[in-house]
Amino acid sequence: MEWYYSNNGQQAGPVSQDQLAELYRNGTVKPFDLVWNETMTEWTPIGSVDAFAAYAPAPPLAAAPAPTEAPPTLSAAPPLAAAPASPYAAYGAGGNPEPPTYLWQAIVVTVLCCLPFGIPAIVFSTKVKPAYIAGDYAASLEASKKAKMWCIVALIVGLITNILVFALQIVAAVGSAAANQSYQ
Amino acid sequence: MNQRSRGRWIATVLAISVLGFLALWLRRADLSDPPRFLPRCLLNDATGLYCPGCGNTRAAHALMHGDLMEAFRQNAYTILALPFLAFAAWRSWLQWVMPGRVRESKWRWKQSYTLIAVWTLAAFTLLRNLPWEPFRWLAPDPPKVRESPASAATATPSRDAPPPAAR
Repeated sequence: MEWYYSNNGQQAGPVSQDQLAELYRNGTVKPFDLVWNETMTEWTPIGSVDAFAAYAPAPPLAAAPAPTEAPPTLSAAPPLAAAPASPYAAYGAGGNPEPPTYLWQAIVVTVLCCLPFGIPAIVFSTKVKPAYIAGDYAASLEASKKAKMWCIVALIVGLITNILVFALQIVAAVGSAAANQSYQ
Repeated sequence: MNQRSRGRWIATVLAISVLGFLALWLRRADLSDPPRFLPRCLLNDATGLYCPGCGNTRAAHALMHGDLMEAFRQNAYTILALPFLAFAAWRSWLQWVMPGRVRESKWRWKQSYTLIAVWTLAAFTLLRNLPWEPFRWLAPDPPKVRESPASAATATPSRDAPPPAAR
């Protein structure tokens, strides 16, 4: 499987899984650096990819020496067709990509489901970018996750409520039909 | 195309089919005598207030009949936000079905745009609930209340409604 990874703000790869594991183990790729392969939805910090858990570098007692030479595969430009979008925004938060704000989703669930649960979704989604620009990547990611969570909560609660009301309407319709029959 | 991507394409086709079916049904519906099963705003039912989404069903109905003015009249915010929402949804969908393959757009979304969207939404919600003249224009038509089952038997049919079908 071919992996792409990020290194000092540059996208690199493709490299094999073994090569990437080695880069991770020797500290070239840090735990928060993003990696991606074709089967993944999003760029993910390598520290949270199971396949590489076994290669996590030892805590920084001995600082990993900067590699004097990049492995040969890195210098080869990735094939154009397979090149994923760059994970980097131009600024902020140590080169990590900006987490999604979920703003449009939050507005849609608020307006369509008409629920109080959409409001926290909007509030959290407004906090993603300021935290990111301030360089607080953890807070930005946290706000993004909460915005997503509240969007899902609003969607589910909205669906359930509407289905319940729909069921009630059916009961009422059946009841009214029965009542009309008894009058006639 | 990998397994997950194919699943997402199928989900997209299914979702569009369901939405298309619902849209065609709504297009045919007669809103002067709203069908019983059209969803109603629960906040409006409970409190009488207009939520920011009130009027969306009628706006969608009007849009599908090409009446942009009427759609705007029922929910101005939705109509103004629609192009932006559609564009954002399109980008997110691309990202979802072809993960990692979508070029980032050069055009950057700024925090000030977010604040504008959120504060206009809040202001719109507040203003459309004010009972005075220029603001009342932002409110949708008052909801058509369906008779309760008890009074339905005695209610006189409205003049332009078709006569009830014979039993």
